[in-house]
Parts: sequence; structure tokens; C-alpha cells
Amino acid sequence: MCQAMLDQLAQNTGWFNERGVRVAAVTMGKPYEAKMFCAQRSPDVVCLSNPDQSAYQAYRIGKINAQDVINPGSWSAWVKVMGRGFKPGSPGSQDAQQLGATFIIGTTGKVLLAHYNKYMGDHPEMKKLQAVAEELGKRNVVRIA
Amino acid sequence: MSSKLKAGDFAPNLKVVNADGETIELSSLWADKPVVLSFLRHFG
Repeated sequence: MCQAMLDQLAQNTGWFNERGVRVAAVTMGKPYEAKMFCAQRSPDVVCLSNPDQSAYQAYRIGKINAQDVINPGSWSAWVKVMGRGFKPGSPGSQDAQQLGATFIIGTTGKVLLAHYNKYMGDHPEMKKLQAVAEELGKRNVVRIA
Repeated sequence: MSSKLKAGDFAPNLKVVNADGETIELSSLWADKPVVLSFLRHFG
């Protein structure tokens, strides 16, 4: 599931970079694991390691509960991801209950968009992320002019 | 879990490690340009 989000980011990193927006991914892997994982899937994404999950906690990202397991959205996302050829693997030593989230943060340090994944396989719509980036691009043009 | 972050809130700044093993502050990611910051689930 995580692979699917990272691939989605990787496919759009060039688009964001062209608009002056950096793309970064925080993982629960150790640095060498993060390096290998990102090098294989998304060499242009800034890849970070946070095995103690302190950043996940600081950003108030929740964990899967029992209800999530029976959430139809979760199963629907699972089927979609499988249909695209992904094979969810073992979490290994990483926290299998940890959910993900995506934020767009401006240069003032303020959150411009926050998406908390509601269940396994939930991801933000790329169009929503791109709409914020487009808006930022327009502001930058105005600032330069 | 306390209330979630929303648009307009300041993003928490803390130290993480990059893929080369160097400690960086998250704020360095948005110091010069906006950032899409995605927290991933496990590698599986």
C-alpha cells in the first residue's frame, strides 16, 4: 500500500518540481532501508527515515483500529491496488498499524493542505495536491512580477 | 490522538534522518520552497 503512494508521488515529482514544490516522503524504515526503497521506486523524492515514529506522532497521524479492518473503503482500496499489480508485503519490523498522511507546507511553515489517511490504502487525490501547487505557482509568479 | 493538523496550523519541526544517515530538521524541507510531505505506511 505504501508502495502505491510512493509510486504516485514518484510519477508526479517532476510536475511538482517544475512548479517549485519539493516532494518528500517520511518512512518508518532505517536510513539504509529508506535509501534502498526510495532508490528503487522514486529516486527523485527526498526520502527520510523515522523508525521511532516521533514525526508521525508530532503530526498526529493515527493508527488502524479494528473498525478499519472491516471498512469497505479499505477493502476497495486493497482491490484497486492489487489490480494495478501491487502485492502488499510484510511490514517486517515496521508498525503495521501505522496509517499515513500527506501535507503541503508553505515556506512560512504553515500547513496548506492536510490529508489523513482514513484506512489502509487511502491516499489523497493527486488532483487536490496539484491544485494547491498550481495556486502556489501563481502566487510565485505574482511575487516575481 | 489529539486534534489533527489543519490548514493554517504551523507544521511541527523536528529532527529526522535522511537516506544518507544525516540528521536534518523537517523545516529545512520548506525553508526555500513549499513541500509535499507524505508520511508512508510500512514498506510492504
